[in-house]
Amino acid sequence: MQFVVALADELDATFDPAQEPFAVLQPGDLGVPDLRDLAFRLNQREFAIALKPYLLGRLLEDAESALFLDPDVLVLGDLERLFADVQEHALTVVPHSLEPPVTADAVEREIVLHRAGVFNAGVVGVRRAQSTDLFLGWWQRRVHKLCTYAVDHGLHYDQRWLDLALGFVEDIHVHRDVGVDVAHWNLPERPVHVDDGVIIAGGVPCRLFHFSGFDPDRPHRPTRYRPDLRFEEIGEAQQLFVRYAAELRRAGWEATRNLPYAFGAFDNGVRIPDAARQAFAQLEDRARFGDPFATHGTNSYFSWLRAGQPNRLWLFVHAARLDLQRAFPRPRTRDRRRFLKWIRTHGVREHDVPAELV
Amino acid sequence: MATATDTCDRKRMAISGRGFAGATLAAKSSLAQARVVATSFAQHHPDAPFFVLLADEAEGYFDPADEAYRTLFLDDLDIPDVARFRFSFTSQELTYAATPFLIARLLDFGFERLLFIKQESLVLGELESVVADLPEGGVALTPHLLAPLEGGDGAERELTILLAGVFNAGFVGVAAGADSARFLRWWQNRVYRNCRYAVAEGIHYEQRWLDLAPAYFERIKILHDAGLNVGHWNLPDRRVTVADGSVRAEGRECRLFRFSGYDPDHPEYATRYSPRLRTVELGHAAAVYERYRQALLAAGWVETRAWPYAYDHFDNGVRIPDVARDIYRRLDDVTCFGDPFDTRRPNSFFAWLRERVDGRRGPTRFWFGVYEGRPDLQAAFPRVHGRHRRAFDRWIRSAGVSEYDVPEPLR
Repeated sequence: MQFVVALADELDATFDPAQEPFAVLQPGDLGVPDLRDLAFRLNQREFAIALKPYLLGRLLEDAESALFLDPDVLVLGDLERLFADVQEHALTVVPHSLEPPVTADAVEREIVLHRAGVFNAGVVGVRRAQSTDLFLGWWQRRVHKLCTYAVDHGLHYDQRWLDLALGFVEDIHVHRDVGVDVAHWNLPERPVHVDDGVIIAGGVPCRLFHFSGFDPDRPHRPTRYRPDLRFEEIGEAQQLFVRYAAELRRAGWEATRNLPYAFGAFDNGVRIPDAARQAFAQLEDRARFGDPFATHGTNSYFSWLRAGQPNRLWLFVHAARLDLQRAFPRPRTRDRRRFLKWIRTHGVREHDVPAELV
Repeated sequence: MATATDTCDRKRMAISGRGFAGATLAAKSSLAQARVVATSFAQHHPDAPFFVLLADEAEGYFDPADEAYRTLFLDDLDIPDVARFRFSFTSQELTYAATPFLIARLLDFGFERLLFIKQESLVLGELESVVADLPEGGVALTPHLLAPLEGGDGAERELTILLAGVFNAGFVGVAAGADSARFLRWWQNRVYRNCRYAVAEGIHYEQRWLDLAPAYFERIKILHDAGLNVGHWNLPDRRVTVADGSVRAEGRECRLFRFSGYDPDHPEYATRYSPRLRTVELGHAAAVYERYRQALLAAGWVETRAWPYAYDHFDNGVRIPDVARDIYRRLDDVTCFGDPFDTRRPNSFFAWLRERVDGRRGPTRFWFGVYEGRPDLQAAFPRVHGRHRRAFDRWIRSAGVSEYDVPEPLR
């Protein structure tokens, strides 16, 4: 069984894939159309997630079946039953929860699942089949167009789209094992016990734990998605986090976490703020700029963004924010001074815009 | 005028059932729709009883004994604090929220297989086999979409479906058993206080809850038959052909066609929920809509559509504005009010609504309840008990009263 890591980045001198115990694929290996446009439109997180359906399609070219795992998981036991399901069914999915929540805030927690998606896109299995090809082709098209966090509109990166698979894929299998994909969202229903080194979750062997939102540099809380959740509240599961942090450090966390993101800056080194990405995505005729990362010449997106005072980037931010429109109804004329001041005192910080784009 | 006590006088329905039955629910202004479902169901299932839950009171407008189906009332179901239930929902929301209670009650009667169909439907073929195939405790659901939507707006339409729910709650097939009993109890619990239209939040009446069913309950069966549950959301994508009166969808026999939001007064539109779909653009499916329109007219739609809703006013005759229901529903403890329709008791909900918050300085609890549900009003009048009280009063008079259609005694 081969293990493949798709790099949602570009290889450079910082690490040698030949030294790694897994095969490495780059975005260019995945058959993604308009790749540089996608890598510019989407922020780092969105881009990494958007590659998933393409990765699955690519893997099925060489293998009969494939299982995708999010990078922030730890495999703690054998996954034979999961592999068996993946090999047998066109699509295998894992629900966030296998039972109604047992806590007093059950309804609130279920509404969170409504917004995030029934299934966790961090564990997805596919098998070669015509229906799988159709499904992956559709999933690829959807994330290529819309892979963002806008839950009020039904968007949660790639994950909410997965809900529709229940209708699209006849041979969809819901994998039922409370020991698989244990995470902060289902911990109350799957209490963790460590018994003589054996990790039990919800009374069964814990095979896969998902450390979604955990930051080893902020070890005081299990996940940034629940800032209120404390380690004291999750009982023995805390030991798993300690172990995971140690394994990450052994794997080179300190050295690798600050490695640069290939698609994080223009080619002149200026960091690309999210607002610049979103503004680019909204331009219907953006193809006229060519490579959006390029800054040479007068026709670059970079120089287009910087033009004017306030510049086009800030006018885009203004157009996207009702509060700014109310505070500065005429940002180019009457309210220009006040808007420019707001940009300096607040805007730069709120939208994390580098000096070169102010 | 029906009052709370009228309903208590009626004897609770005792039915002993076996085998297969069908059911729908409706307020009496939708009785024509219910009749069309019942009649078309009977044509294809002559031996199966059909039940209509009247989420309303007959009030002399019709005699249930004369109808070609069995009538049930809300009191016949096991709904905790049914007066609270009736008050919490608008007429439309009530028909949605009562669904899991109706299904559970019919299973209690002894039916082994049940098919629930929403009121705006036409049964075109035999449906018993769909539930006959279910294992004990199984539940059959139909997804809105069995295939991706093509076209430039495909993604946007699919997002609308995601917000509305993967499954359509207009078709629920149930086999008696432990799993379906658990499912129904869970669904009942969720709709009791969370059956409303709040799609940005993640709620779409009773329907959105069904998304979680395949995760929680092992015996959920997802039906991939394109001939079941054809409706505006999957048209014109699901190709409908009509030949010799026989309707097919994607080549399969069409056995259930749905007409959610169809208005016989505006037959040029497939549904009032979206101007996207004009019936002339639907090819053969237009003939099915016309057939439905004729069926509605023959079932007395012109007469029934004007019938009043029994639960739309307090017992003093004052109409209940929808927002008053929202305010009531948001309260955690309503036991002190007793029957919320009752205005004669000292602690009535009606009197509570008219009391001023914070002595004489604040707005009434009714208007404060409106305020609490509106972030824009909170931003415009942050000190509604003090400095901005007058401005808020002005908003009430110039906009609030008409926006919320507030009857005189609550203004």
